[in-house]
Amino acid sequence: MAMAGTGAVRTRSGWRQMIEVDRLTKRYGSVVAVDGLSFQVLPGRVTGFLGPNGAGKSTTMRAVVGLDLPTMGEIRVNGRPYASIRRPLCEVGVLLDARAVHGGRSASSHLLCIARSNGISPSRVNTVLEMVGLATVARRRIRTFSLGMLQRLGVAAALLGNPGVLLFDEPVNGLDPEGIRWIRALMKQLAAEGRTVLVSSHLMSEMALTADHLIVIGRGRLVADASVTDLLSRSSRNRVRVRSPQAGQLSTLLARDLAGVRVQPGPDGALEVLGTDASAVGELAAAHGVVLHELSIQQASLEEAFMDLTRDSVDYRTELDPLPAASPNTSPGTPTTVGSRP
Amino acid sequence: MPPDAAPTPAISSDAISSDIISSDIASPDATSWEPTGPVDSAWPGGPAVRPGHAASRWPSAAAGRRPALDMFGNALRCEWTKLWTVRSTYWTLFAAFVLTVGLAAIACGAAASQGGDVGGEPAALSLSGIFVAQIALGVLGVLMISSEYGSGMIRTTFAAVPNRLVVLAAKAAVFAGVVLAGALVACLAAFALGQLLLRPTGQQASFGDPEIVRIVLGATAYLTLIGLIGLGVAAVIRHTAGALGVLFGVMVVLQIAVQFLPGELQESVLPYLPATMAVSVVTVNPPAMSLSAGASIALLGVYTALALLGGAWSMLARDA
Repeated sequence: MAMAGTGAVRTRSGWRQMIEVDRLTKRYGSVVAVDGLSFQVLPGRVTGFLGPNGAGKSTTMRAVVGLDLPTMGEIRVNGRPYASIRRPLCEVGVLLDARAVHGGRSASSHLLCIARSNGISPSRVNTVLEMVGLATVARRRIRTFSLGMLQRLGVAAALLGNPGVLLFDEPVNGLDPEGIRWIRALMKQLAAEGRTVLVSSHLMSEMALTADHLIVIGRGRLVADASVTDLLSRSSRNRVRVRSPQAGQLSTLLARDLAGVRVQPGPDGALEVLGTDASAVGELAAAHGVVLHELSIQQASLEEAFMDLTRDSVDYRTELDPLPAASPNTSPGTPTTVGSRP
Repeated sequence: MPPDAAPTPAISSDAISSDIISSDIASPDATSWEPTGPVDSAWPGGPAVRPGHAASRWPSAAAGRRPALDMFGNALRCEWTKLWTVRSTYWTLFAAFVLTVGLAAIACGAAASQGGDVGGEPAALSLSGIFVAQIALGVLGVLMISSEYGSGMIRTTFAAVPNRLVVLAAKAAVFAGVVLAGALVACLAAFALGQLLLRPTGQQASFGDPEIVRIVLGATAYLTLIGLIGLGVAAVIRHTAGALGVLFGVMVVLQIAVQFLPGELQESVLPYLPATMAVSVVTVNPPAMSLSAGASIALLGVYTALALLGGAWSMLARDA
């Protein structure tokens, strides 16, 4: 792993502020929840943490804040273990499970307890309640809250110490459309302020709208560590859509002249060409005098890209080498990784 | 009642409507979330946020000079606030007080009205309520930990204070402080009321009599230690019902089971059971086979230490 032993990077202000997960392994009995996982989360962007249910996202996030002890490997936050941070809530804000609150307390009492634990001024309680839109129910008992309100309360607790690093585990669950819009804007705002934001989700479509960078895991292993744009452009599902009155002729030409190209019929008589780009198709058509009515690029949705990636992650389970960097199977079988692996 | 509640205006429940979710503040379009707006207004009330500055620049409060003491002090304040912001605290303390004083009134009132002999133990009679009040305080001790495991709040607690020994120590210290004070008031009130009711029989004791101060303080210590054992047990068992079962199983069931042992064996086990130790603590002349009051409290202290050590081990060794 390229990141092993490199320590924290320095941000433009010269301060270290990031999450480093280094060869994290977590076993529960015989079940391996996380298996040699390494990645870094950098400031100034929203990093999506994606994976199917049971992929190890929550386990990893719990391990970051010291709730689960790693079986192997280590995690550093701002360059040191979480447990050694004296007032952790002022450096790391975390929302793991919005339901994990004592229902008998009022929202403001709940936040006051948390503020006291880190010497945070009690005036921050009202501030964060206003930020998340719960100021009018500050004195109401948490037991009466809807799941959406609990998520807002959880976000308020994470923001209490005004931390530079934020972790949110499935924050969108239970929110109404207005709440979802709000939390997306909040994540982006927090990242724009230069904070490090890690948001987990099993919903690709949600991440497409929120995240700048993605860390995808499957079965406890890293599947991809790339920007959203990069991930999409590398997807094997990207295709060129062509419409032509001479579709049959074009189809034959494509199969004959361009190596590795696959042609399949698309909707309303169009052809979908996989494994090449639009310019190659256009040039081929021009060279043979084929008339084109449409030539467009159909980019895979993040959902499709994700399905490809995580389906592959299942295959890794049967291989001896979990990261076949030199695998001849280059298109759908190689982890898409940018910058952190040889 | 909670002394530390944040100064938030109270609202009536019918003022709450679903549109709080779409309030201006919650809207992504509100000016406070405008990324290009004035940076200092992005976090109203909080420290100014300068994009690109590090986490270590963001904390608002000044760093203390003694980190370990700071951490423990903060944990104490946190646990204190937690204790007084749930209703179960008020209920269990109220129940413990009413049981201690109420049973003193019943026992001493009955003895006086029947003109009976209190066997030279007027103080013990007035403090007989501690045998029931210990249940309420055991519940309070258990709940202080099991309610956090039950709700999942313990993960928030441990994320805020990663040193779990500090968490356990702060909980034990806050509990001990509150229950010592509360139990002392209850025991003093029970003793005073009981002796007042015994006055017609002429058998009443007063604070100046030998052993009386020792008895009242001993009863107070006994109640506090039983509650602390509950706290330690809950750190191991984690479930409210399970922890209460273990705690009162040891205290009550064992006491009954011992009655079925053959005489000699029974006499060698009984002195080490909490109920026997309670008797020896509140009587002027303890039963012959029991430990002295001082030895009883010391042994109970050892039990408490073992329970808390077990709890500490469990908290450190197991995931939250």
